[in-house]
Amino acid sequence: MSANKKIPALAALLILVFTALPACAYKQQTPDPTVPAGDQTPVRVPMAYAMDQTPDKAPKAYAEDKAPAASAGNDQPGTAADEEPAAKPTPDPLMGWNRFWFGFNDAFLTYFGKPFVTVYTFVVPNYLRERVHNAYRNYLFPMRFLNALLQLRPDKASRELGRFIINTTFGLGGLYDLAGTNPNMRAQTLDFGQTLGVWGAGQGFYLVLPLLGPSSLRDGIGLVGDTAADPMTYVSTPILLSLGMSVGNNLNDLPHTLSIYEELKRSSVEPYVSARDAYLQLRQEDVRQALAK
Amino acid sequence: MKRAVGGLLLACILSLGQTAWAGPAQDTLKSDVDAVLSVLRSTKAGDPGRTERLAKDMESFFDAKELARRTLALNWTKFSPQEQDSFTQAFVQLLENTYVRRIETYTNEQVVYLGESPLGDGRVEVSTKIVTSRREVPITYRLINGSGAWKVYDVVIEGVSLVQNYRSQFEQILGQESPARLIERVKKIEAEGPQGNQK
Repeated sequence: MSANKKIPALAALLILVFTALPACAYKQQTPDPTVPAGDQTPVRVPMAYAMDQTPDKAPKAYAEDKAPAASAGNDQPGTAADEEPAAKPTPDPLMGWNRFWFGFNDAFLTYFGKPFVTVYTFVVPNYLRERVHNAYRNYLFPMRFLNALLQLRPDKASRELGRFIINTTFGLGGLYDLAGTNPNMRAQTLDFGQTLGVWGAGQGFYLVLPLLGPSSLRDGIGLVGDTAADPMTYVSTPILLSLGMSVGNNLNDLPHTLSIYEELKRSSVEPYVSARDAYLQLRQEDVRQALAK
Repeated sequence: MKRAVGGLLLACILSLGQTAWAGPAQDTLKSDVDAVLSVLRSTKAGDPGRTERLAKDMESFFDAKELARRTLALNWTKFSPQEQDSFTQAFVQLLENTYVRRIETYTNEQVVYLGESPLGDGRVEVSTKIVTSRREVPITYRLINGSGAWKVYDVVIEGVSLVQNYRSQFEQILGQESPARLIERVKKIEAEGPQGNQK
C-alpha cells in the first residue's frame, strides 16, 4: 500500500524538478525585475492593446504581465497602429525544445489522433462520449474544490460542492450534468495553474509538453499540484489505474481537441506561434475570470 | 433639499454600476451579425451565391484598414503603399474566413448582446455571448467609428483576440522574412480555406 502511495509522489517530485530546472536558467535573463508580477490586478485588460513604454528594448518582456498596468482595453487616445508597440512575445527561451514537441504532437495528432478519432467517433456516439467526459469531470471535483478554497472563493467552492452533490446523486454518478442546466451552476474553470496566477504568479515562460501540448512554467507546476489533488493519489490503487483514467479521458476528449487544433492550423500562418499566443491569452483570461467579481 | 441631494446621490450610485449599455455601436453590430448569421442559416457550404452574399455582408462588417494596421503594428511602416494594400486585402479575407468558420458552429444558437462600453478614442467594445445548452461562449467585438459607421477592428473569442493572435504570428514571420513573402503566405492560407476553394 505504501509503495503505491509513494510512486505518484515520486513522479510529482520528478516533474517538479524537471520543470523547475529551466526556471533557474530563466531567472538570469528576466529583463526587468521591477515589473510587477502579472495577473494581480483585477483590471479587465485585453493585453493586445496594453501599452509598453519600451516596446523595442525589451522584446522578451512579459506581455501578459505588463498588461494590467494599462487602463482597460485602451491604447492611448490618438494612438494609431504606427505608434502601437509590436506584440511582445512572452518569453519562450526553450523555443527549440518547444518546437520539437510541437512537431511531435502535431505528428501524433495527424498519424494517431486522426485515424483514432475517425474510428472512435464511429464506435462511440457523441452521447456516450459526453457521459464519459462528465463522469471524469465529476470525479475531479476535489481538485476544483481545493482550488476554489485556495483562491479564497467560498462562492465557487460551494458551487462546486453543489454541482458535485447534484450530479453524483441525480446525475447518476456524474454521468449527467444536471446542475449545469441552471445558469448559476454551470461548470467552472478551476485549476492550480490558475490559482498560482490568482496569487500573482506570471506564466514564467512558455512550455510545450509531450502529448499534453501547450503549457507554461506556472501551469506545468499547476499540473503537478492538480495531480496531487487527484482523489486516486490517496487511495491505494495502482498508479496505472489513475494514469489509465486520465489517459482514457484525454482520448475520449480527442475528437474535441483535434477539431480545435485543426481549426488553428487551418487559420494560422505560423501555427506554432498561433498556438502559443492563443494558449497564453486563454490562460490570461482564466486568471482574469477568477479575479472577477 | 436633503431629499433632492439624496436622490441625486442615489442616481449617481446607480449609474456607477451601469458600465455597459445598448448603443449605436451595438445596434450596428447586431444587424451586421444577424445578416451574416441569416446567410449561414439559410445556406450550406458550397451553395451557389453563399460566398458572394457573405462577402457582401462582411464588407461593412470589418474596418479593413484599421485591422491591417493594428495587426502589423510597428511593422506597418515597413510595407510599401502597394504592399499595404495587398496585405490589407489578403489579411481581411483571411480574417473573414476565420471568423465565419468559428461562428458557423453556433449558427443555430442564441446570441445575447450584453451591451457596449467605451474604450476611449471613439472606440467601443460590445460584449456578446452565445448560449448553447451546455455552455456559454463569450465573444467580444471591438468597434471603431472611423468613417461615419461603426466597424469591427477586433474579435475576441473566449478571451482570445484574433488580431493579437495574428499580430504575434506576423511579428515572428517579419523577423525573418520580407513583407512580400508574408503577403504570399497569408494568401496561401486563405486559398486553402474552404471558401477560397470555391473561387
